[in-house]
Amino acid sequence: MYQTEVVVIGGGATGAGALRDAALRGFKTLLLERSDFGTGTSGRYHGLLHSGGRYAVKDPLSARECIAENIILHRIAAATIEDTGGLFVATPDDDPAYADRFVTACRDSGIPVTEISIAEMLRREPRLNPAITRAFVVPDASCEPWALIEGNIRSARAYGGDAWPYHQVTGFERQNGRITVVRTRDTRSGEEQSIACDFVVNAAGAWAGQIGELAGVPLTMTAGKGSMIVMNHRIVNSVVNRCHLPGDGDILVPVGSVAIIGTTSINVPDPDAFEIEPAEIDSMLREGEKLVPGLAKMRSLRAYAGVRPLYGNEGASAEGRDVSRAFAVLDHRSRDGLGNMISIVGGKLTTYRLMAEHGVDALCRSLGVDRPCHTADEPLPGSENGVHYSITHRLAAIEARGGDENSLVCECEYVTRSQVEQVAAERSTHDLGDIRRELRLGMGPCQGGFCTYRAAGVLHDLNHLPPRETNEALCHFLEERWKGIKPVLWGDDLRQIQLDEEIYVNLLGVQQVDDTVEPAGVDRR
Amino acid sequence: MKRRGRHFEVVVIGAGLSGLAAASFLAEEGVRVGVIAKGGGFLHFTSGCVDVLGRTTGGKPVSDLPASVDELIARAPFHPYALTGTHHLLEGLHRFQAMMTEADLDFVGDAQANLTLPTAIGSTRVTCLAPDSMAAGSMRETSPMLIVGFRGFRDFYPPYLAANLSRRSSFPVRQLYLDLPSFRQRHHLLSVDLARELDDPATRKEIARLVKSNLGDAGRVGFPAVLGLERHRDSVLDLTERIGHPLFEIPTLPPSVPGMRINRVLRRRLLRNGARVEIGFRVQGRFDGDRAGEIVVDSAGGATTYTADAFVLATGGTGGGGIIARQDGSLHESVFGLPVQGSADRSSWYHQRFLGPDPQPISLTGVAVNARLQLLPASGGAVENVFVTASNLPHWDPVHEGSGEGVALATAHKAATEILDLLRGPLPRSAPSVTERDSLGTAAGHVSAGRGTGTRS
Ligand SMILES: Cc1cc2nc3c(=O)[nH]c(=O)nc-3n(C[C@H](O)[C@H](O)[C@H](O)COP(=O)(O)OP(=O)(O)OC[C@H]3O[C@@H](n4cnc5c(N)ncnc54)[C@H](O)[C@@H]3O)c2cc1C
Ligand SMILES: Cc1cc2nc3c(=O)[nH]c(=O)nc-3n(C[C@H](O)[C@H](O)[C@H](O)COP(=O)(O)OP(=O)(O)OC[C@H]3O[C@@H](n4cnc5c(N)ncnc54)[C@H](O)[C@@H]3O)c2cc1C
Repeated sequence: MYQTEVVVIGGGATGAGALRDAALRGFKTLLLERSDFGTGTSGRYHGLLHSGGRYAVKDPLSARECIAENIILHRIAAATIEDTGGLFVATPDDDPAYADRFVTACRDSGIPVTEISIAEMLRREPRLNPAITRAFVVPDASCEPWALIEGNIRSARAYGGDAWPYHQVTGFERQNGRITVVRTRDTRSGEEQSIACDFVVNAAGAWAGQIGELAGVPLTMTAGKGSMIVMNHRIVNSVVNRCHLPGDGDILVPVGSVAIIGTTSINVPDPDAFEIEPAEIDSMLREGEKLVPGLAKMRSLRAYAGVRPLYGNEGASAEGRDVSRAFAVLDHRSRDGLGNMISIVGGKLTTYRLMAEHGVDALCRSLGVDRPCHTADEPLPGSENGVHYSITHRLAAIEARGGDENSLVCECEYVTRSQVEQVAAERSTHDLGDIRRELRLGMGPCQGGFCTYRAAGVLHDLNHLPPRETNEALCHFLEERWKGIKPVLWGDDLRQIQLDEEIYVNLLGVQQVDDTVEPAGVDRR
Repeated sequence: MKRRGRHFEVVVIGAGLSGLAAASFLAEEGVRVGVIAKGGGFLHFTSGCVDVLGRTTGGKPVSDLPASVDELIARAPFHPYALTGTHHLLEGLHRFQAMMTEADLDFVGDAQANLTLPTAIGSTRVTCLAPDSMAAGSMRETSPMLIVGFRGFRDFYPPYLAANLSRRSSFPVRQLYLDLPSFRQRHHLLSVDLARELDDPATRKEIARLVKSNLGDAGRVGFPAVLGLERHRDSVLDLTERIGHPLFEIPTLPPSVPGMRINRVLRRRLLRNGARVEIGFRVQGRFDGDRAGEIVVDSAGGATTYTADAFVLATGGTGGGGIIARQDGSLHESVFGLPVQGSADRSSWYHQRFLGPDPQPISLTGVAVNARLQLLPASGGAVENVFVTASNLPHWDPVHEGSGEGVALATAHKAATEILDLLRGPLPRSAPSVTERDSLGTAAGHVSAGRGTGTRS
């Protein structure tokens, strides 16, 4: 039986952070994630590394945590952060009195805030609504979740930790009020495995309640669905927030070559089953118009949604935004008499490191050991030089190599054949989604229309795969991309889809590709 | 703004297959035609074959083409084929094939049966007419295949193709990547770039040498569809001779070189016949009472007004920009701004799955017409001088039916015929090459292949 000291459940930012923290403190630690890393809420968030400004008025504790972590992450996770800066702007639709409250609250929480003139705002962000009355600069930034999670895992591995994707926790064995074994199933092969451990950290986000149930401890999480729309253009160069009490469609985040408008907030019963409603899309675009006139007419690439792991006064059913965004570490020994498990619940991606620190502190207390946290001191692998992500970094890397190889698989996101080969080999994966999360394959304007076939061809060339599995990978990726395209299909995008249909259904015949026998008499001549 | 005016007998809006074909059919009868379009049309994205009916509603490949078309017409009275009848389909196919043959772009096949050809992932697709350069890929033949691709060309993967195709073929399928030094310098090789390279005899010589030394037991050699653009015929003949075996092309991702070849033939022919072709302009139409009066074309130099006695609306439906679907759920025709029937709930336009068995609901919407293909507004009678073709028509789906080019040619031919009646009265014109019968099966004998079937070897 595989043995470890600590099992962390959940491969989002919180789990990856807890894995790294525990590994740095010298615990032999294993992380289990049921799908790929960053496919839960962390891979479906808005992309904003908060300055805390958003919470300053309503939730000062969150605000203070955010600004402290924002500064730390700029230092330790530089490569995953684009240092865009942020603006809070008061539009004619916003309560004019809020702006002054906002400034005072930011100052109280230690968030640097500077008012700039509207002329200066328009110089920086020419697309913003000229009717905006006030504009404040704060240190918001944009942050790439998959690189952040990957960085935490790589760092943990360097300290003897490990992380297994596609391993779902299916149950626990308990003895004398302690968990002795974590049971897991490989979701790709179906193989079951038991892992002996001393301690369990539940970092399953919106699914933490399900883990609680498996462990026999009551834990009520609320899944707060939020939807976002990926716009085809970068529209703004800094994060732009409406200066008002948080609402729908009031933040625009530049991420790489796109900008993401969001979010909405609707509680849902099941964190795995939710739809993006047309009304959510319409409301975000309508609100977005107030920030950037004309936004609703710009091309929307796709929509996606995540579920906030909300942990409030248990049992209370407050709607999304009123439940605290601050996090909690639950020690199930004092709470439920389960000796060796903690749950880290709630919070934000911005505060993942702090959440992990508090979680592992609780673990140390529970085990009666005193080992200090080091995660704020040491940079993540890839971020050692403190250089922030920049939108031109791919081109710069190619220039540094002295030119380009001749096979570009995805021209929208500039992904080359050798990059696909390298990721597929390193991760021994044939899921094009895994490759997407690493390389942004299929995330540009054509949304996989061209590169899906190419990436499948490259994967097959690598001799990894029997053709049937390559076909499956191809179809699966197309369907996965389709889910996000469908909610924002109107106007000229219909033409793109017709082209994709022409390619895959008609030209390539993917629907017939696994019919191994030609139906008799097709070709009668 | 200065306004200029121009008059044609017929203005065709749209330069896809149906627009270019309708314009050609008319120009050949001496009609003064203008073709105006926003973009180059869908030909650049297609296989370059002429699909008439590839799949039944259940998704099965169509084997008995005449019977399946008859069955479709009987079952679906609003399908474009039901509006045109098989006569216009056969005429359209025949005249298309004749125009291509005249330009040295032979098409094999006839309306009696479908061909089955390999696709670029090693699946198969059925089609009615195929360029001669694709014929030797027929799955009915049993000689072993060698599939050849080029390193650095990202739109064709011989190992993937061969692995899939071997599973369904009775013959061996082997594969080969060629690594040509002259391609290695190129950053982004598109199919068109390769086709231009293959117009060059020196490149062909090098390719033939490498292929020959790897032929093994192969009896035929498959390439991505890039065997020459301007000198396609020379390219195929020369390579075939050098390699000593039949060659065949397999359609790749867009841009489609075989589609471009068709496009060029049609456009050059139109120009020779005195038609005007203007691409790159968005067009707005105006009614004059119950007729279309003029269209206004916005170009850099100002607006130009075109008047015409009749118009062909060949703007390509939702995929081509002929039908605009808005965020608010409204659907309308893009030139005259007429509302189009369809669901106002945009979440019902598409299925949950992209690769599901059925056509996407929105593909089945289209501009209402009467039996003569005349535009039918929501109220009142038909617009006498506007004829609607191909993807603008409702109740069919080119992708799932595998019928795109067949419907384009049939409706183009029907529209051209109706327009000639309108302009000149129903006088006898050049004799039809196909007898007026109403079934593919009985009349099809008259439509035969251009110059024999099979590749020249
Ligand atoms: C719409 C939206 C926008 C947001 N925007 C921001 C923002 O801009 N800035 C910000 O800082 N925060 C934002 N947040 C909050 C932030 O995304 C989350 O707080 C954070 O990502 C939670 O991370 P996590 O690791 O706790 O959860 P997750 O990322 O959800 O990780 C939990 C993981 O557990 C896995 N899991 C579940 N069950 C099992 C099992 N049985 N076995 C194994 N693994 C399992 C899941 O697959 C998942 O990967 C946003 C949230 C939403 C919903
Ligand atoms: C910061 C940021 C920037 C982005 N930028 C872009 C961009 O530029 N362009 C763009 O196109 N998109 C962008 N996106 C959106 C992104 O492409 C995805 O749409 C988003 O991450 C949601 O993932 P998805 O669409 O794959 O989700 P889904 O398709 O819903 O599912 C994702 C994965 O989760 C797995 N999964 C889900 N539920 C389960 C389960 N119960 N058990 C096991 N596995 C499960 C699925 O197997 C699948 O692989 C961005 C997202 C973020 C967070």
